[in-house]
Amino acid sequence: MQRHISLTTTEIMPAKMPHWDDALLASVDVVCPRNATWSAFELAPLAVFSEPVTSFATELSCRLLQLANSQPDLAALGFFLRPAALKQALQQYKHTDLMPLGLTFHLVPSNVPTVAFYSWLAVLLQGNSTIVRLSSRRNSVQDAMLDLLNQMFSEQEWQAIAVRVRFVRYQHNDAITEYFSALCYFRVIWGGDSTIREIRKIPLSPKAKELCFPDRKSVAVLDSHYLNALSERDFAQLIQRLGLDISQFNQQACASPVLLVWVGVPSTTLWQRFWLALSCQFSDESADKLEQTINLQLAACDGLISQSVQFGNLTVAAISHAADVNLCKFGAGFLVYQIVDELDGWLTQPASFQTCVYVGANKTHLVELVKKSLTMRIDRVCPAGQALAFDWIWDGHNMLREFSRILG
Amino acid sequence: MMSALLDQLMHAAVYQLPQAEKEALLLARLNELTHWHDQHCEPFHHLMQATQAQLQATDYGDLPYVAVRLFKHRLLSSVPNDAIFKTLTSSGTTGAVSRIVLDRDSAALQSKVLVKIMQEYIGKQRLPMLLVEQPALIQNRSGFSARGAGALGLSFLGRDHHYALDEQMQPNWPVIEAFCEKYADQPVFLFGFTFMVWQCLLEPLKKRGIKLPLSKGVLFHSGGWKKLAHLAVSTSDFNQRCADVLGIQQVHNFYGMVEQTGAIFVTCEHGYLHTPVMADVLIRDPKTLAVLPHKQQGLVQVLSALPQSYPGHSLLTEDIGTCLGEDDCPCGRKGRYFVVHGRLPKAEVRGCSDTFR
Repeated sequence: MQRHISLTTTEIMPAKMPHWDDALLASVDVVCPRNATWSAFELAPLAVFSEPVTSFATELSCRLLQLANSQPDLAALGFFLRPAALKQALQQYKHTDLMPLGLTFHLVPSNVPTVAFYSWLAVLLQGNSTIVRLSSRRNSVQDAMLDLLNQMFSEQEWQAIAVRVRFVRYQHNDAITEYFSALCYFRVIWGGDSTIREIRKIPLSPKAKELCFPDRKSVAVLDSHYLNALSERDFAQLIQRLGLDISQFNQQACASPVLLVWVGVPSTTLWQRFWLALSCQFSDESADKLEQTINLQLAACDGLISQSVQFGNLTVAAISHAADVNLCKFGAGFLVYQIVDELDGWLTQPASFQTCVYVGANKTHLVELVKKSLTMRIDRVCPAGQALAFDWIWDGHNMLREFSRILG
Repeated sequence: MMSALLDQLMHAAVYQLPQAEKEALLLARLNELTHWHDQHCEPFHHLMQATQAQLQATDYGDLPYVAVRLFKHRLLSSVPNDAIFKTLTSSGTTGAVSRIVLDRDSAALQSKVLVKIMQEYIGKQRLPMLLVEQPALIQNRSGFSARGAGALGLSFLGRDHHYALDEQMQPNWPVIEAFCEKYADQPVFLFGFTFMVWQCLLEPLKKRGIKLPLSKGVLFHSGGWKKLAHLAVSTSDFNQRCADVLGIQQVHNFYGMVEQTGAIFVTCEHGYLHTPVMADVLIRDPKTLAVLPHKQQGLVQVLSALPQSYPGHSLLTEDIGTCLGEDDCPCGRKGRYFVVHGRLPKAEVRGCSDTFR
């Protein structure tokens, strides 16, 4: 692939590429903007948080919110982008001189379709142009979003944005990935670990940065006393939110809790009531029980769990070491738990969690404990129902700063 | 781990014990095996502990079971490494491979039981055998593929083996002709995998308009109907074609898996799979895994008195089947009889780790 290397030696990214490798790009399918050419792809960035981009985000937010009935995931993205929230998020950079980087290249997963757009929007807000490689596995949420973007990009008003993005699909082809990796100033890989390992074998331009989102697991911390004291109505609402956090992507999203840590021994009544209510949040498709049993049996054979119990559509098992969640296969309604007297001790375990969903009265207390915990890594604390919500801070990275540089 | 119970089962007539009598005997043997594996296979012991399983079941429904897929992800063995005589493998459609370890005793036991069951259909004489296979598959014994092992296991039962296919999986006409000339209208034994028998023998014969003179032959085939169902070939189409182009009236399908070799389930003249004395089935609700009454469709759990070197005596398969009854099949065989409809449809696998597909 030596023929591509010459491109990376240019210190300053030209506004337009002098020549694209048309032969190679012939097997790249540009799905958005529709019919967009590579020669029209603009590499020169916009200013960080510039007006054309924030206006675009505002309009996009508005149109996404109109899809609330048919596309709740997209509406959630729209809500996240609402002008007031975005303005507040950008407020803190008012006194920092941020500069864009240039072309970025993203490899995104197929299972959580909105990640592709979240990843792109973070980069776009910082003025950069983007190539997003979508999975060849199509998905109705992604298709709906691409349709909407294609509509917007056909409008005159959004041309400054349209020329700075290419959503593409191509069959597994290292030569194409290498080509884009040599051109870009930033490569973003949304995991899992095996994907990151594969893509990291493909060289990246010396001046490019890379951000990877490896496999992560998440946890929920349940305050037994708090749960016990909840009214019938609040309990039901909490279970619904927690159920959504846990089950929405068949437990496969990095932010979905797989380990539930009870602080304080729950009463038998609470124990039964909680799990049974939670089990109702899981689907009963026929394949699930088999997959659930297989996940349970794998963990059991490996000696990771004890005390497994079935509650309706759910199988839960006790786990001794928090870090062992990384050795278990979750999904289809298999969860693990721990019961501890207090959190201080639990937080001294060498384990890593992306999100900690907190079910209790005193979130500040937990955050203070997490801040003091230098052994266990927790990247985010949020209330039930928010685990899968968008956040500009992800895996400990500030997505609104990551894709720009500071003028010294 | 040979035992008095196993001896009793081995000496019983294959299809003559009424269900209640058989079940009492087999359950005792299966409990014995559960204890054995609990003591000799650490992962199985962990599994029993974590699921608070009853090592001494009072009926089939209580027997602990291992999901058959576990053998694709873990090596489960109840014998020391130096006692492993051979490892059977099967490649699944997903690419993951089951690994089944056999010691000498288990391997011998499997062969013995297979012979005993097959003799019920082909008699005690070794019959001239036509394998719907290429010779290389069997002769190359170094890699024990499921297909090779299956054919090899059955080839013990025949003599003067002829291979009906060449290296390109095309009919080897001179071999087929020679076999027919030598054994026309004599008892012969044919074996092949269902799809290959159809695709590589029955179809080419029909195309050529040939009818072979194998009126006293018995055909055994196995390996699933999935590919044939795609071609819209039913059991009766298959059997009719066998009569038309091979002259064979006696056609048996059998259900078995590498994870439980030996105690196979064979279809009778009415097309129902029969449980031999050393094996049994039960059906579980895919939604709850509760045991279902007869005539209801669900996941097939297979039980076998044989697996000693690995914890495979009670396996939850991913196949959907229906148990039709016990002791009352019109063919006269005792015990349970059932049909298998196919695989449980796979749930979509979704994960954060699929960027590059």
